[in-house]
Amino acid sequence: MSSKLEFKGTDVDGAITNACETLRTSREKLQIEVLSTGSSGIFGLLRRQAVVRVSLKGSEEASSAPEPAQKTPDTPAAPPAAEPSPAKQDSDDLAAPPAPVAASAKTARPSKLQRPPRREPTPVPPEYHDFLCTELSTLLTLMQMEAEITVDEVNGKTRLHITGACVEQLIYRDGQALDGLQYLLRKMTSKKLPERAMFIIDADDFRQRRLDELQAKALRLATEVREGKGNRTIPPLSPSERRIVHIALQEDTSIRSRSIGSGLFKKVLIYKPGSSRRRSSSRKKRKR
Amino acid sequence: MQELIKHIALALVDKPESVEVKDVEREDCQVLELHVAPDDLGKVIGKQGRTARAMRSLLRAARPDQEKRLRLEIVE
Repeated sequence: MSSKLEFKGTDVDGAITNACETLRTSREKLQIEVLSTGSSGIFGLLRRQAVVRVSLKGSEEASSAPEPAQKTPDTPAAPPAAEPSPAKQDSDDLAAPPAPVAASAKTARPSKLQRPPRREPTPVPPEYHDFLCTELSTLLTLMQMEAEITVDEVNGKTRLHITGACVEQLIYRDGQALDGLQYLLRKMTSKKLPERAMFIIDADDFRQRRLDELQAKALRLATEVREGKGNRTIPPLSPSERRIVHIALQEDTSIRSRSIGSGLFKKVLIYKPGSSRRRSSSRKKRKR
Repeated sequence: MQELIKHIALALVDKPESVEVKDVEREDCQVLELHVAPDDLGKVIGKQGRTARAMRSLLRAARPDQEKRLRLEIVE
């Protein structure tokens, strides 16, 4: 009998590796059928597991493939269950390495280990500050805006701070122009800056104001959801703004937040667990 | 505004020599046509049009109360 078994993993590769380990065979000997490629999701949300269906190649030999071996005592039940489910303490999930790495090679989760460590951005070295200021002021001049630029460091990030008459135009409509300016200047200068060097562009402390505003809004809506007034959504936000909302609500276990929609700007839905969609097992892990 | 777009495009592309920005007046709006080499199209448009959107947002901010609309078109 050629057994067809389904395996899950964080991505297709992980699922296949999972299958190979459980069946104790090599990838070449398996007939693999990808049922779902899975999705890594965003900020640990909307994550779906990849599913593959495998059977041993050479169907006749398949019968000799030790069926019981698949359920060796040290392989606990179904492979997905082998995944630890750290229900809610998600934030430090990634920070702590998967516990029994050395303990047994079997339980080491390859997909988890393969993920490269997050490359933290670093501040821009001081010798590049003048260069950035010049580039930014060139752009602003071309936009016919008069501005003063100062450089400082906020929360470990280099900040180009714009002050002057043009600020109002830049922060109009939730800072669309400011975000555009930041995005373009990063692109324009990235080749000349050291790798991972990162800066933000701010105008009259708009970033901090926006952060406070979004946090307050998130918490206010969360209270309403908790009081049973139904789900709440925040109008489309950029990725960094969504991150602020998700982080603000992360600690609160009575409600959850999720980004909905497609494209760069997505709405954020705040809901009570169970009221919107069943809790899916794919939410076990979070990126941050 | 023409120079603004040109300046940005020059910094993004691999072939600066083929970057050109034309200012075209139309009846209802003013159009900036950005010409780049075919290979560089993706660079001035960006993932999901992000770069193009950023340029448009700068244009919008740079001329707030103009009657005529300013459009940015990217032309091969």
